[in-house]
Amino acid sequence: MSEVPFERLIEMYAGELLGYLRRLTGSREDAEDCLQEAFLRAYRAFPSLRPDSNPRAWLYTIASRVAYSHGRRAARRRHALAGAAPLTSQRAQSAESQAEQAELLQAVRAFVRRLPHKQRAALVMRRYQGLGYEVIGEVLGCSPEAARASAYQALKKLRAHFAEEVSS
Amino acid sequence: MKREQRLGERDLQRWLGDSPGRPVRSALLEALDRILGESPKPEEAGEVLARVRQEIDQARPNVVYYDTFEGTPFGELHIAVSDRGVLALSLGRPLEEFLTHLKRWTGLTPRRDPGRVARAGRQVGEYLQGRRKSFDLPVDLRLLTPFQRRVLECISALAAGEVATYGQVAAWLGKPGAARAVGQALARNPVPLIVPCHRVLASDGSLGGYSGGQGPATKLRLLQMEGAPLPFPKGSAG
Repeated sequence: MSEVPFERLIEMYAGELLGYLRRLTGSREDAEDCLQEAFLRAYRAFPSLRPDSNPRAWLYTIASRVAYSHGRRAARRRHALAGAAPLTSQRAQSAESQAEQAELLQAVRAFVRRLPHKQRAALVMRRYQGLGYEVIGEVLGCSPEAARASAYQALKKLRAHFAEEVSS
Repeated sequence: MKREQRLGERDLQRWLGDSPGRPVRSALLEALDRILGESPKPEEAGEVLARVRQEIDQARPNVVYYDTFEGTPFGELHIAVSDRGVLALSLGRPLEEFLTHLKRWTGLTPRRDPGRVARAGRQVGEYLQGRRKSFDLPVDLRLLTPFQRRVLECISALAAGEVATYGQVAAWLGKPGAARAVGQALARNPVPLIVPCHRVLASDGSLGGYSGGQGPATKLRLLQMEGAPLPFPKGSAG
């Protein structure tokens, strides 16, 4: 069992993990459901958590698994929900460039959703959760090098996928 | 997207924070940041936390009482109950082992309370003497995983004298490939006898495992007592 009590642990990481799950699932509601399930799973597993293990990596691991199986269930019953979130740009833009940007956002959003779980998770953990590759590798069950490669794969795919549209 | 430049390896490394400096301006990477960069407000996580706390409160017992019964044909019997029902049962094993496990498993210190455990003790005692076929006792399975719970609820329907195989139970649950997982869930049954995991056999009809009492020998003895069709010894079927 970890040194930190369970209650304290989930308080410390709730906000961060909710952000992570939103980024992984692309949905506020799914993220909240996943976080709730992840914490309950963590609660059951907590007594067997080794004292020397990294509780942050442990919680990320559980959250990632929950999001993964949640995503597979959701994919099976999805009926094309392509709801783009409202734009929150402060700058005034011409209608044309705004429409163009909205289009790009929607396309990138769809791209992110189709990324393989591991690549999306690695990218999100690195860029938006500020985690190092040691921890990311621990979460994803691979070496730090493989974790790094996964994050880059996601970006290279993004670059390749949009190469034509962007340069035209 | 006129201002977009080609994103080089170095730009990606900078953007991921793997090498110093600012990455080039990129509509693609900005779009990614717009989609993924927003963080939830603290109070949003607070709502989830409140739900989790509530579920945990409902998900775990907050008291554990136990008692010990000697002189059964199978050795010492220990039973623990919570506010909701029988939480754990141990047959033919030392009390210390039972209490240590119980404490670790529930996070609570079990208190000896013969009054609260009497009903369960009487029924299980009668069963072990062959004077009872079924139980009228609530069980508390809150500390198990949903799958373990489903397995145990499913096999509770097996009456004395009946047997099933791990594979059959898996099929009943709609998971025909999960015989092994069923076996593992049964091996962790905290309330043997009351939830009759001894009535589930290996798929070839041989006895399979049993973690209570003296292991498979106890399983066989219970099945004989119940008049179940005797399992084939492993390998003797053909």
